[in-house]
Amino acid sequence: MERGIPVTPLTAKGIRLACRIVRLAVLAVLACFAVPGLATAPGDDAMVLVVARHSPVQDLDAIDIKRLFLGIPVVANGGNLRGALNYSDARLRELFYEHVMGMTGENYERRSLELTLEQGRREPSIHEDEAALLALVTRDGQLVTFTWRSRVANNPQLRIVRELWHP
Amino acid sequence: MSALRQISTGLYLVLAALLRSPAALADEPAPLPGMVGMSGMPGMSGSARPAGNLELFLSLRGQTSSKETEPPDLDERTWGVGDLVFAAERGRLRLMGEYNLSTAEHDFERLQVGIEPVPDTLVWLGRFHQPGSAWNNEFHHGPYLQTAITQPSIELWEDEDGLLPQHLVGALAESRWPIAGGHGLQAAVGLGYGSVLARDGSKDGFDPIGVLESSGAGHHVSTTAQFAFQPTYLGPSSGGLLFSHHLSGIRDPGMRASLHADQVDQQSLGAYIHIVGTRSHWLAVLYRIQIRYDAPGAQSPSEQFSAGYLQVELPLPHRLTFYLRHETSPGAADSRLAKLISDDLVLHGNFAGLRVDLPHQQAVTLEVSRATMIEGPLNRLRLQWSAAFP
Repeated sequence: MERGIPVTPLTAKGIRLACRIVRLAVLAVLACFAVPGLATAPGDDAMVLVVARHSPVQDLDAIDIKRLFLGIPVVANGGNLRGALNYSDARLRELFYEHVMGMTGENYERRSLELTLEQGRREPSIHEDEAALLALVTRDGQLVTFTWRSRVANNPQLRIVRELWHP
Repeated sequence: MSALRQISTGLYLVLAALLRSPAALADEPAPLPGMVGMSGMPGMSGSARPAGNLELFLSLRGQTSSKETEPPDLDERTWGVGDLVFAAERGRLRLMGEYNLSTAEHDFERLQVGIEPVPDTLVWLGRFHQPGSAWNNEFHHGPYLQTAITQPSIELWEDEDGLLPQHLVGALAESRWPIAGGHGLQAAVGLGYGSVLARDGSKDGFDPIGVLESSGAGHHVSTTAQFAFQPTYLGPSSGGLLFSHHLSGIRDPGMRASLHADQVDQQSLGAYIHIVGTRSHWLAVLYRIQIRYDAPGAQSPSEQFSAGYLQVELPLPHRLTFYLRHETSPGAADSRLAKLISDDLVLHGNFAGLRVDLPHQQAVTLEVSRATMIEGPLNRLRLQWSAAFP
């Protein structure tokens, strides 16, 4: 005669509690993906510069990247490249200010506006929907943006130009 | 001078048409997959697709002062300002302008056509702000970007009783380039027709060549320059030297009699340092100004004085910024020209303010000042809302 595992009232309560925790965790993860800026990349992910697979860009040095994201022309294969700011993720945005532009977010935005006032420079376009931005980049060979490596590693339409930061 | 205006107007029209015309520049071939990038290569023709840019700076302000008897000047009559910056590019050609519309006046402050032969090196023709001014080259007519409500009195525009001409019509070359260690250098040299001294109603002052209105005789060529070092290439901090030389004819007989001259020769040598840190921002500027009064068959007396200011900004929590500015130009009290045209030149004064930055590039600022100007002591309280769109 098989003996079932005895279910005590305490164990039933524990299972209910575990189920509740799992539900909450699932909801939290879903919320992270639903709210822009809360979705975080894995802790060991790197920030990379991305272009379309067919883009003429093979490499950009730190100075050209700085110019690009301040609206100063950077020419590749006869065309002006354009920077697109990926503001879908708060951590990515902070790393961009600190490690790519070398200034605070406030100073970057002010500097960008100053160059518009000084020389009529075009500020880079701002994108909060990463999926839409990456779809745009795949279609436009002159557009350059940045994201986490894990987000583009398996996308054959996009090409990583260089790593901008790693943990 | 009317010929000069016709030439410049024609130039604007031709280049505006060039920027619009699809046939004016042959389209570049589409980039081929796999081609090696040539970023920043001199000689590359760039994108032939025209692209434009618009930025609007708005401000509304109110003020109260201890001044009671004098009629309000331009600054006091102005309670609303809209400054539209527009730009277009096609390949290496550039067009940009700044149109300022306020409750007291409207004018094309800048209208320039240019070429960018290599990235970040521009050669412009048109009406531009002289690069020998530290403040005006950074903030132009955009009040949102300057933390303080007021600009230092030595940097005032010509129609606000400014002592130094600020608008030229001619050629401007400007460049920035990186050097070792991540630092940068920047240079700007401007050569163009400057201002005349003229009477506008009851006001004496400098009258630059306008884009839309006709200009009489008496304009001479001015030379101006700025050379600066950037601790971080393209970063917000810089420091350097400023130079301007202006020869201005005096159109009004009354002004000629007051100054005992028929033209004024001004030279300004300056130095500035602008440090933008995370905990504080510092802007210190010092000019040494020499003014000579030229009259035919007579000695040319001259005068010299210094003018400068220091502005310190302290970012606080909740997007607040507290700032203090001290201005001084004690020697200007004896200047014949300053006494005639620059009532608002501050001999010594302090300005303090609190700015709160709001979402969507808006700010509200409160500023109090206590200053002794050429026309006497004056206390002021100002409140301003400013914004940049989009």
